[in-house]
Amino acid sequence: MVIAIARSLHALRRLVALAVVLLAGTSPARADDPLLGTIDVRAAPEAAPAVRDESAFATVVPIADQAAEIKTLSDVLDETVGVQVRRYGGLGDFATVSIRGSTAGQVGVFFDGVALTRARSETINLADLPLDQLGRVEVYRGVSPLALSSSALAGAINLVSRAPDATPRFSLLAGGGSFDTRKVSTAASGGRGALSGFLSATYLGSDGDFEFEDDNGTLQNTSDDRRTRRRNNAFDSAETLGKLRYGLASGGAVTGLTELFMNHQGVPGIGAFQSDDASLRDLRSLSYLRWEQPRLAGLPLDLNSTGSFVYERERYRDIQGEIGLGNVATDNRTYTGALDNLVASQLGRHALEGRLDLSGQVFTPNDTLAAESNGPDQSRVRVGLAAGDTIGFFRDRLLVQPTMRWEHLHDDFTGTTETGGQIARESRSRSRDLLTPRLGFRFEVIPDVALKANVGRAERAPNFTELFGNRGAILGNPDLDPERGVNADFGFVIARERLGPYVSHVKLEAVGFVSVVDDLIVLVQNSQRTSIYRNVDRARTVGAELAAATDVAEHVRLGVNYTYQDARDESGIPARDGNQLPGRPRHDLYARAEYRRDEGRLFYELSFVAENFLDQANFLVVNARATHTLGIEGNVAALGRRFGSAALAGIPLVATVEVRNFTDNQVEDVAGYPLPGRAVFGTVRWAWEGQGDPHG
Amino acid sequence: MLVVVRLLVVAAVLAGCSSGGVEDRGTGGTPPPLEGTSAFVVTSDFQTGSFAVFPVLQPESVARNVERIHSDAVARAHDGLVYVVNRLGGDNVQAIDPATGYATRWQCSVENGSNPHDIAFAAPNKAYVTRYERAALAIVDPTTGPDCAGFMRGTIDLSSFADGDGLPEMDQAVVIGDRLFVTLQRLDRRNFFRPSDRSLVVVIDVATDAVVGSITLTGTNPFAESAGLAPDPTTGKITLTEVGEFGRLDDGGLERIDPVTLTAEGFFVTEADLGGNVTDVVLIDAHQAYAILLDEVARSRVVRFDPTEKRVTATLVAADDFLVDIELGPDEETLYLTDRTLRRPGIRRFAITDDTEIPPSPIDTGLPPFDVVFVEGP
Repeated sequence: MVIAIARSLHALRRLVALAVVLLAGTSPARADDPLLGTIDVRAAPEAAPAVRDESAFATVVPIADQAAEIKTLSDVLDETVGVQVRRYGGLGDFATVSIRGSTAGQVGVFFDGVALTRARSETINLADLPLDQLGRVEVYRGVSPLALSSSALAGAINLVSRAPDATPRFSLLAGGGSFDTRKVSTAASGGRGALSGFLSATYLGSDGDFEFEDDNGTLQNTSDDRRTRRRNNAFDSAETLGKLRYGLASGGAVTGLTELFMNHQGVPGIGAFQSDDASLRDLRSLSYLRWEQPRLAGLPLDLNSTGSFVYERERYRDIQGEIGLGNVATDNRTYTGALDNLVASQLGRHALEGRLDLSGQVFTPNDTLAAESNGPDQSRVRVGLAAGDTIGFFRDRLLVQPTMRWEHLHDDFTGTTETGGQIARESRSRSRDLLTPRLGFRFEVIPDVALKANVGRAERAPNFTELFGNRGAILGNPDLDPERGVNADFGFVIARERLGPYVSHVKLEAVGFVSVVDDLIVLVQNSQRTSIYRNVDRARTVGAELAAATDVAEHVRLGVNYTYQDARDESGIPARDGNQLPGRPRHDLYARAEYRRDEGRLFYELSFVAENFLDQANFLVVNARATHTLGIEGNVAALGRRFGSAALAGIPLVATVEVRNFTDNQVEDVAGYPLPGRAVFGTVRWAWEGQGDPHG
Repeated sequence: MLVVVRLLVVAAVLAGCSSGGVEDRGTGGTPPPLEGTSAFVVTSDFQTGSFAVFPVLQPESVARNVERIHSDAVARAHDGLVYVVNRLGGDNVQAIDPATGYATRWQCSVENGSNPHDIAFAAPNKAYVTRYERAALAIVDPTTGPDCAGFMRGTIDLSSFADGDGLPEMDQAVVIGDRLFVTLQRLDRRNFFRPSDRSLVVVIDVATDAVVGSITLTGTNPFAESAGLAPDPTTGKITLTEVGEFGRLDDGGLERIDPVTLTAEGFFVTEADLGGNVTDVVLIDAHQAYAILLDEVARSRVVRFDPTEKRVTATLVAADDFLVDIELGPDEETLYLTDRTLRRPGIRRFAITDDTEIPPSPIDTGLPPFDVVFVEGP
């Protein structure tokens, strides 16, 4: 295994060296500003929009380009450099994200800049987030840029919905595959005059009944192991999104969006003991109204103001007590309202930004089986102020970017949970301030080659569960300190439009980083029936990221994302201190090769994850694994044109078939939760495009 | 095309070496030679479970992380073997043989999701396993082999003793003579396992497996995190720690039940007398006993108390952390404590003559200790 990794690293080093040599020996050909964004290995570089942070190491993944594949947000993020996804099953199952070795709660998640992170628990289930309605996914590693409304300790993910288009378009996709997976998705956009809109709806469902090896819970007894199917793992989810944009005569625009997501799924539990009855229903309604106004009142001031409201309802039922101890039926609601304001101004060599953000969130738990079913309600009010400057020197070849964000949080709760689960109806409140300073640099050494460096500090405030407990077995700890982290990174980005006659769209990024998080909040069982959150020492991650992509001979696109990280537990807890953090492999590689012509494309994906641990004690090792995906896509109209069939040439259909994990490599990301093996998916997409409004 | 070829080579190398699968690499500590009596310590961080072993006369010779067990488990020593009851999520019993380097002799399921809590032995080929998530007590054959053939012999239905949630929450068990005594907590699992009704001890004839009686307890929630039931060697009576509602200090205490007359004798010490829920107890004599107490805000103490005078006479340990189990050592002069203090967990020992702590302390068991039993050497 070690030899294999060494070989692969050696091969990668040679690959990088080759690219650097090629770049150094070729005359410069500057792109518009390709150094701002980083590298997505799937799409042509020109599709990548600028990242809204000059010095940040960020990845932008265009989504519309890949609509013909049955992909989820988990899949997209898992392929991104510096990001790990931990899955509790297959399509639609719970999945969490980590950036540079962080916990899931240290990653901020936003939708069009609207914070999705909840004060009750920051951990976001990636399965509840859309993909088809997105135009792109932005991943900020180590920073939460000032363009986003709140800080995040390890980085941020911003899901950006598709922009309304004045050109009338309509598309319909239908697909399905293994485990009775089915998908229907439709999208339409168009515009007239100053008004443009986008409307989409997606249904995705699966039975999720993949086969796996069940050890029957008896680790030392292989005679009772058996091959079985996942039960109660089906899900049905639907999402609709509508977006209207009105261009103002003043040059600004008003955008309104409403998104509705619904999901009903079984909760199967661990592989050795699958539930038959537990279920989860989610509903999310997100709406916002955004006013973007350049040169506000004739001043050199650009305004971006967003009022948003998010309603979430989560109903979990385990009335047979199959998942854990006790019977549970909860119906929890979260209400979040926010007013986020960003102003920007260019004054000489200074690109100034300022923020004023206000938000409030109320969490109302309801345990329908309990004698005291409601409460205690918990609420958080947040006020954020931020300021930043991007100062250009040497004709903007050197950019210095200091930013500072201050956030004040005020928490109120109408009661506390006591040792026996009883609610003491005694109101309490707690306030705290978070400071997030950061300094970034970007230096354009030569055209198309930039050095970047960042150092920053960020905090994660304890969430409601950590502060106030829940009504089961977790006691609140109002004395918790925030988790405090320091992130630093340094690296370079190279982007070239052409390298000789055959190589184009070359991008290369290499980054080294270190992340230290102090006062980690961990759950500790402190008595026979209760657990409590406590601060412990720290986690430390040192690593490197490499992303490269290029087009070869116009029809071949190659890309590779590689992450090395050494993520260590330095909590001071004897049985785990010094251990590797679970779920953080040292080596994580994603590579994609695609042969593309007008008639279709053929693609291959490799995902390699080095061995890593399932547990904090570092007893359980998931061996290194490689999974392979092969896919083929055909464009009926283009094929018709190529083969002279007028009938086919008039059919705007694209068909895609992919075989995922075709070597049937089955593993676990989380102990006890099996992942699916080989799967085959196919889609057919019909798309129509009209003439744009000449007055639009 | 060179780049393409190299990428494919890397892919081929990775594909060839990477087959996935999960391995256990944490265990394998070599246990010391079996001479005299050894302490067998169940260890866990509630994510991963293992066990440690050390001779009671050489506590510095600890074999840590000897083999994997479930992360929520208790142990019972019987007839030269250690039986690890792997609770919810493991749902099996694992027989470990000290004579073969603490290797697992067999590991057999008692039905997934059943949450076994205790095992009590009636005969070499007959034992009873309490199952917290089932209404039926399991009858098993401990003479089974690695393939578990014939392990499950049958069940005894106790659903008629269930409270409103349909399960009686059977917990601890002991065989005395020809009778099996099983505590039924009868908690309301729809309401955070609060007591909903009177708790019972059900009595079963081990020859016929028929229920022959039940004892209604004075208090509720007869609780033992890791300790089993044991009759007092002098009186033959069984002492129960009845917690009642956790966090409430006026509804429980210590009670003896008479296994002959099948009667509960009432609290001889209440939790109000001691100032905490009693979660484990070791009785030395009429004027000396030890208990783990849990107060309203989940702070734990190990105290010495006088059962006759009904008062605490000394506090040995006070902690914000989980103190699980106290046991009297085989020398009957040493009190063993499994201390799960976050930054300094381990086995701690106290001389019961003067309550002083015996070095080395704590004894590092690898993962934090949860339960301790003693295994006699050959």
